[in-house]
Amino acid sequence: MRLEVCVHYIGSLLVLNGTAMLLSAAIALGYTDGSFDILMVSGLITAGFGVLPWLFVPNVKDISLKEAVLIVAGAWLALSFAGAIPFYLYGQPFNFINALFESVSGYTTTGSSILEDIESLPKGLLFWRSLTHALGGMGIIVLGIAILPALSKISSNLMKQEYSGLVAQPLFPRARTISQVLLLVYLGLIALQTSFLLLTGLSWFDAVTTAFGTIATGGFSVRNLSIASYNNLAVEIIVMVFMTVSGMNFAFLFALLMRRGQKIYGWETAKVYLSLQVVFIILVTVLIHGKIYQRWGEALRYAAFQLLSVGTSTGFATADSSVWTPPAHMILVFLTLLCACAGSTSGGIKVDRLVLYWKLCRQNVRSLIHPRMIQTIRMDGAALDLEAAKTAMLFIVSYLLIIAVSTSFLALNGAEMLDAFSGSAACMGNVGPGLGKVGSMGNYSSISGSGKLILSLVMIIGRLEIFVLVLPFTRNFWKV
Amino acid sequence: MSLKYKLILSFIIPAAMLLIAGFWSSLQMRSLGTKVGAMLEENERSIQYAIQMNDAIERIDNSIFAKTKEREAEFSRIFYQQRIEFDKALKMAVLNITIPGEKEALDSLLMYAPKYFQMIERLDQAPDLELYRIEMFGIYEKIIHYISKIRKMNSDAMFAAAQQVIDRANRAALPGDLIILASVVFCLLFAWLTHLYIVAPIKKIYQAVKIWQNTGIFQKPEIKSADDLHALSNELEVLSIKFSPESKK
Repeated sequence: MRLEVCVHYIGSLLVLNGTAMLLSAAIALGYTDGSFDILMVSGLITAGFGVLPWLFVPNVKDISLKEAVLIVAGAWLALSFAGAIPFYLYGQPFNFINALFESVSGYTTTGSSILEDIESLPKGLLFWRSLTHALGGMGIIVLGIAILPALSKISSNLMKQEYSGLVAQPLFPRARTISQVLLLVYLGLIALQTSFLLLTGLSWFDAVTTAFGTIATGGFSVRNLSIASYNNLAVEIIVMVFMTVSGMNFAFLFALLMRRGQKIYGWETAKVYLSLQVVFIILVTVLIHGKIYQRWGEALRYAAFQLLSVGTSTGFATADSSVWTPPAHMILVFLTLLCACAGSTSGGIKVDRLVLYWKLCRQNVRSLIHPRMIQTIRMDGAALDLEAAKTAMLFIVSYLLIIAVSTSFLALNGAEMLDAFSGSAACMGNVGPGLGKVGSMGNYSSISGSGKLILSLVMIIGRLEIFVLVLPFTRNFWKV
Repeated sequence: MSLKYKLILSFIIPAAMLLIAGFWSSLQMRSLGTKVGAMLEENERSIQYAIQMNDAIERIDNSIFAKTKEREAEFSRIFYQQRIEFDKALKMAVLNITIPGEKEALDSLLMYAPKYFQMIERLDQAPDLELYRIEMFGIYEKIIHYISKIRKMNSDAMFAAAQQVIDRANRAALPGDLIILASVVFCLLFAWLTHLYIVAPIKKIYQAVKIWQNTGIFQKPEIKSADDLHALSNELEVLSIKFSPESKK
């Protein structure tokens, strides 16, 4: 294991991050809101750290799997700390833990916040807060591969570690080309949504930051009442459409757009994902109509937005779902756990694994009836090996176990059971809002300091799909 | 990149980081000092004017009793002297409005004070304790109320400014805390990289030269970085070939 090589590439990503901070500083300068100096100092410190290993350690042609794991895990941790610097320097309400929580929530595109009065923050800092979504949504490593020449040389192993393991069939043989295609789709969607939002009358600042939050499926808004503050149906419809699109596999979207080949990988999952959303929206509309909202149109409007927001792990809000009926809460919790498709910017267990789980169950039932029958599990016509299915099932069990541990920890630290469970599930799935105090119109300020640290860790574990972050902490990983 | 630039840049980066953080802290403290100093001074002045108005109006009110006791000279002296003091303080206070709500309170004083003084002048012509009890005392209480309000507003503003001092001082100290931590990590990283890419290669070259001296065989050490040490290793290899027994023959 060449530790210096890992430090070198983490350094490159820190320089990229520092540059993004300087971009936010430029925005702050435009608004003259007093956050310019904070972002400038943070950007220079972050980039300064990144430059040192870059000076000493030469580029390498390849890296091992272990090195790739360490780079990805190290980069996410280093960037989370670096991203917290501007918040920390701003001072109240950010202490070190709050700043770290906000930063991790941004990069992992969770969108959980400790802020009670978002609008009191300077515009430059709010832009940085939304920019962490844009950087993390793309996957900082995937972004690095697409634009940093040093990372492109060692890209294939790195990409495997950061990008969902379920995206089995790449469109292009080179990882750098895949990264660039993903970046193209990502930036294209941001540009498209920004244009549409501008047409509804939103300011440039609001349109861009909302687009960052939507396409990254993050959910940080620059308004205290999130999307509800605009009280504009057109804005809600645009956000809903783009949330739904962002919940789909980006490579699938690209293939769909380019119509490459006869069969497009991802159709099967996309169909299940869209069907589930439609069914749940209808169900929740029926459940809340008459009890919370008197008109059908109103019930459908809020149910559709909240469900798509949770179901794509975005976390924007137009209504306080905490006051909805218990069956509606159940559906929200289910969607919080499940989220959208692999290969998108969303978190959660993902629809792909649910489909796989369903097929495994069916296979098991069939084998009980026909014990000697040879069966294969197929996704979009392609056969999946048993190892992939086993990993997916292991992931689901580990995922639920981590939520259980985190819930217990938060509950022991004084959080109410509903807040502890829904908060843990929302952070693990990178959704953002849970239920109760941490609901769609609430925030995480009531969670204790140690609780916030645990949730920060849970958010990164969820974003990196558990095993990448766990591996460097095992003894076997460091054995030669 | 040559060793020279590597080392120079490695020292310049933390120095620049320290410089920026130090400059920022200093800037924060200076701007804090200037802003808060000015704010506190203005609030303090408003409080002083309020105290002066309060003293003057209380003395004027006391002088009314001198009037009822028919001590005319004493009444006139106190009333006209304190009225000048009151008007002077009120005029200065109007020129020193610094906080929201202060203007409205001063406008009320500008309305009630002349009314009160006119009544006293009427009292001077025909002393009437009933007039004082029924009308004048109410206006006097209103004047006292608005003076107290101005004092309280300015005291609150001073308290808020003091709170701001604490917040801003903390904020100014934050880069210092951060830079201390950053310097420690930076130094550790620098020491590690220096060992890995400068000290270790020098040791390797030294060992190779030592073996060359003893055995006459030069084994080129593997230097990963493309800098002066890499060049030195290459040159030594060339030298070893030049001085090898085969080339001498």
